[in-house]
Amino acid sequence: MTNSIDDEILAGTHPTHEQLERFALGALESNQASKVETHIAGCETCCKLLDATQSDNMHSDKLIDLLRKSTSSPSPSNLRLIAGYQILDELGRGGMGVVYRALQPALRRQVALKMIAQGVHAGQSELMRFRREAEATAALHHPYIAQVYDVGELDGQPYIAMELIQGRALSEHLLSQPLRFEEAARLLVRLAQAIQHAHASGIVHRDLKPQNILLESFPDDIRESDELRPKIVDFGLAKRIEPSATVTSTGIIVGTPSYMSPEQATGNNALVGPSTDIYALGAILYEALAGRPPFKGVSPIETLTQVRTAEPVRPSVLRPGLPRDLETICLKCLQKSPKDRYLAATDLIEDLDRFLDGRPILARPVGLTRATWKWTKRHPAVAALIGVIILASASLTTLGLVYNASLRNALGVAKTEQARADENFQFAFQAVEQMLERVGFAQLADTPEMEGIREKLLAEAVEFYSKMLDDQPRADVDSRRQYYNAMTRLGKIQWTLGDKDSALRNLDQAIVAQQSLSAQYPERYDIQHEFAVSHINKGMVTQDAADFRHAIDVLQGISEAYPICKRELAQAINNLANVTASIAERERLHLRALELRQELLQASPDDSSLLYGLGETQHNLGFLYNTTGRTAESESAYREALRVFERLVNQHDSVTDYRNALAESMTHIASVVHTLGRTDEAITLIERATDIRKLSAARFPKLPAMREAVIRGLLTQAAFLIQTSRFARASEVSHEAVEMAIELAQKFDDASHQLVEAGSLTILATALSGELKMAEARETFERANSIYEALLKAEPTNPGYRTEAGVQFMNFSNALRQEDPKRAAEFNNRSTALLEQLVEDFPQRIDFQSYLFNAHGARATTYEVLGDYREAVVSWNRALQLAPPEQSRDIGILRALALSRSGDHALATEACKTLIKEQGISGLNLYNLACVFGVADKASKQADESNAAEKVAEDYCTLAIELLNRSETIAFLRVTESRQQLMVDADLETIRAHAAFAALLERLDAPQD
Amino acid sequence: MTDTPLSLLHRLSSQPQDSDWQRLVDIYTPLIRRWLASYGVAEGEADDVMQEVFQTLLVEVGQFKHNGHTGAFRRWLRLTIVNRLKGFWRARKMESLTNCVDRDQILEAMEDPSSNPNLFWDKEHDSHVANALLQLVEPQFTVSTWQAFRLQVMEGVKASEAAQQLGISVNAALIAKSRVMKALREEALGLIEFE
Repeated sequence: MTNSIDDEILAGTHPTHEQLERFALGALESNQASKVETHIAGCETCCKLLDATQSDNMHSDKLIDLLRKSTSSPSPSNLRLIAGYQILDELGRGGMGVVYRALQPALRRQVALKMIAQGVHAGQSELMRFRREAEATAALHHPYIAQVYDVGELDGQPYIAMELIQGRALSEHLLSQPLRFEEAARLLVRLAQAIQHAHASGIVHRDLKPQNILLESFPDDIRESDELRPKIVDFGLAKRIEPSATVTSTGIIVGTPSYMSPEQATGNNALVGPSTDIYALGAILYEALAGRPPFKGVSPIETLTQVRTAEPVRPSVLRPGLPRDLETICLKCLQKSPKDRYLAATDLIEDLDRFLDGRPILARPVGLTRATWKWTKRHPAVAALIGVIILASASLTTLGLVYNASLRNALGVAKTEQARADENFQFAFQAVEQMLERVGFAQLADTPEMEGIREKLLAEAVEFYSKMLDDQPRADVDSRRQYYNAMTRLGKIQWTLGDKDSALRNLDQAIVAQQSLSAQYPERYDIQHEFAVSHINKGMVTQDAADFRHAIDVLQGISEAYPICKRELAQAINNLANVTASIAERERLHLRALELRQELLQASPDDSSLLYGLGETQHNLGFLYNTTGRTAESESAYREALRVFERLVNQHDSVTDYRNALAESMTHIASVVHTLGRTDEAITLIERATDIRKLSAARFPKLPAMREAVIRGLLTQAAFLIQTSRFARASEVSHEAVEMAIELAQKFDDASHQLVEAGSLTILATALSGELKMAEARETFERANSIYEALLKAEPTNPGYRTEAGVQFMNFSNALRQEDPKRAAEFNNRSTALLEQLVEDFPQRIDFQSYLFNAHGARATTYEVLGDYREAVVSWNRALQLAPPEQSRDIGILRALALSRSGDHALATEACKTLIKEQGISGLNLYNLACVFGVADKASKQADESNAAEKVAEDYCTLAIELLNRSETIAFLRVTESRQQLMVDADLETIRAHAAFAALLERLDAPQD
Repeated sequence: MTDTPLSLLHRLSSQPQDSDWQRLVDIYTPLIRRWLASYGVAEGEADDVMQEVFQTLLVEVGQFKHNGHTGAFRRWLRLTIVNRLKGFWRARKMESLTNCVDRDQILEAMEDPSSNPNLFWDKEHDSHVANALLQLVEPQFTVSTWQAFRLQVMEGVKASEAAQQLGISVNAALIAKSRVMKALREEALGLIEFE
């Protein structure tokens, strides 16, 4: 028995036990196996042996073991019976569902069986929807729609049995070659017929794409028929079974958005309807003709952005020779706005039929030159930015869901499962932070869709942070840091949303906690940095210098070792400057912030937030210089700011904040330029600024701030026009402002808009009085007045109302003074009273002092008209105290004139005697000085005829004549109006009687030297 | 001249036919998908990763040398998947706005042979491949051969009883079982170790 196996078998003897065993397990080599096969065919003994030993080797062989086990494990590839269907194999699988090929034994046909995949947790509402949609689609019977045979349920899990299509998807078919023009048109007619049938049955597919269109194959007669027979599948179930778009944790839509309609891409579900399917048909036609979908970005985000904003490349560019009519049909389907597409599938069919018949189509070629589209193409980077923001809005609800779910995990499970919850929590926290970065405090991008959504998202963020703060932080330093940062964030958002008290509470809490944390970890610069940021945020709320100083102290201490904090340092210094009273200190701070920001910009010259900060500081400097009379410096600082903002607008013309900042700088330059007497330039600038603001207002029709800015621009323009006596134009411009303001005030019915309305009415009234339409002007003033008084009655201490009313009452008086000086005086008194109180309450506000100065000048003037010079002197005295240095001489002379007219000649002439020795006095002022002495001369001559008085009067007269003969005065008097005034001026009555006056007149008439 | 049939793995590394590739893809797609899913890899990502895994296999399977250790192929495959996933996520990280913190942990777990899903992988792999091969070889046999095999192996029925049920001779039943077993064993060579 030691022979070789071959020998034994050849010798007719039996194979060994081992050989038989290996044979049974299929482990013999082929030639040996066939010999054993031949042997057992004739050897009953070996067969019996094998039969008997079968159960023995069963347990020792791994392969058999595996095979036996595999039958018991649930696997889609196993033969299973579901609801009377025998599962044959798996055809496909999606997010929730699975499709099997199955046999329906009773009818001896194969079907596609769709179910919710095992292990997928479907909620009650999802199951309901699956069933509802399944039943709805079961009602569709159309040759180009995959027929639903049966809808049922097994163990609470719904299933759908439908027509099994032998063939491949259109998407695969298109991979090999685009369709011929007429072939594509005919295919589309069929698809549109099917869709029309569905729409007529009240069903919208919503997920039509080449993957969902199967082409039946006819192996025998495919050449003969030469027609593509489509079958639309996934009807209405798309959303359940194979979601074309799934929302990821961060709310970004992934998948294949190439066939998504613009209304779907923007999340505008209200617009999703039959026209959505028309759009998708257009996209399919496009791909069939051009070989690629109309929009295909490198990322889903980019594709979605394109779907929303870009114009598709004309298919004829990609497919030369494409008939123009077919292109027109395709592009009409792809219109952004549903109402611009074919209104019904029948209309699309009609045009396709016309094309196929060679008749003219009904659709007109679409102009692809919409400004917004072009704009997006020119600025892809900006477009991408908007895309991100739009996504944030499109997925608003889902974003909420995602982080709420994470929240539940993070906060609910936290007690039992700390580690896992921590992960979820981190995740939710990041999601909110990112969302805030995108939509929160950054600039509002130029997307009208963002209106309201920003507030909504911020409110959600508040909820998130509040929930997060319900739990105590864990003991480790970074958990605590994050907890306190959340508090600061919450405070900042609450402030943004107008909840000042809650904001302060949270910021204070954060500051206290961060302070003790940073004391505990003095080497942790990040903690100190965050502590400082909380202080800055608090300062924004309180406008208290101490908060900014705290922040600056902390940041300066770490800025060398931790240079990243220099941005916030510059911000804190800038903010401190704005609330600092001392002008010198303010200037120093602004210059320091400027220096820091310039330094930071050297490292990153294109950083837009740094650039914006630089513009901000320059603008603030301009404002400071302007209010302190350093007009030339002011203009150049404002122009620096203008340059920065212009650059930002050029780089990011979508960002409304940049455009508004540009308009703001223009407005301020206009005001400076106006002060410098370049009024026409000022008006041009202000018109440009207003145009920019009108653009913003049109883009954000629901944001009142944008319209308020337009109104302000119009009013400034009107004010300049008034000051250059162009009253008719001023009326027009201010009338426009009044109309906008009334509309706003009616819409919002709150104090701030009533204030805007009253301000507009005031300017209009002023312009009207300039036009000498006095009745109209007075009526308009009184309308404004009643608004101001009502506001002040409601809130007597509101500094905003007091400022506004105080300044506008002064304007009333200016306009009414000549017609109705008594009413004007009432307004003057109200104005100075309000502003005096303001200056007392806010001694650091130099602008309030400047308003009060003007108000007293106006009051003095009104009392002069009324002939009450004593009252006029009271106001001139106060004005002189408040006057900026370069105006104190003018005011001094006006005061002296009033004193003189009031009869206090001694005081008046005393004040003037020092003045007349000064150099560089203007002709007007010299004339006024002459008048002071003229009045004194007249009074002394009328009062007394004594010698002493005569002597004094002679002195006054000589001084007056001397002043009138100065070359500056001569130049002034050569102006016709001045000359006329000279001849009739009551102040100079006795001077004109003097012999020397005739000589003066001769000199004036003489040819100029 | 030897007619020794080559295993799937051998064919793939020598002169692969399209059908061999299809076979590999058919066998491994569900397994890899389940495995990735058990780590929480999203469906859409899993498909992309699988695409890359198969592309890698296409290039590298020829270089795979079975070192004789148990489970060499399934381990090699597992590491290939982990590496592809790493690369895939790295690429995604560059373009995506998010930085998913979970991912490093997932990769760490995948590389740890003692992690639960990896133990599951080892267990699942062999039984899944066996099961898949079962379906792949079925079309090579007649219905009665297949039924004879099924009755004996799957249901533990004796050859004589199976022969009686199917109305064939005992030796035909024995041969049927032997042939199917041999086909399975050969096809599985290298993918599953039997000793």
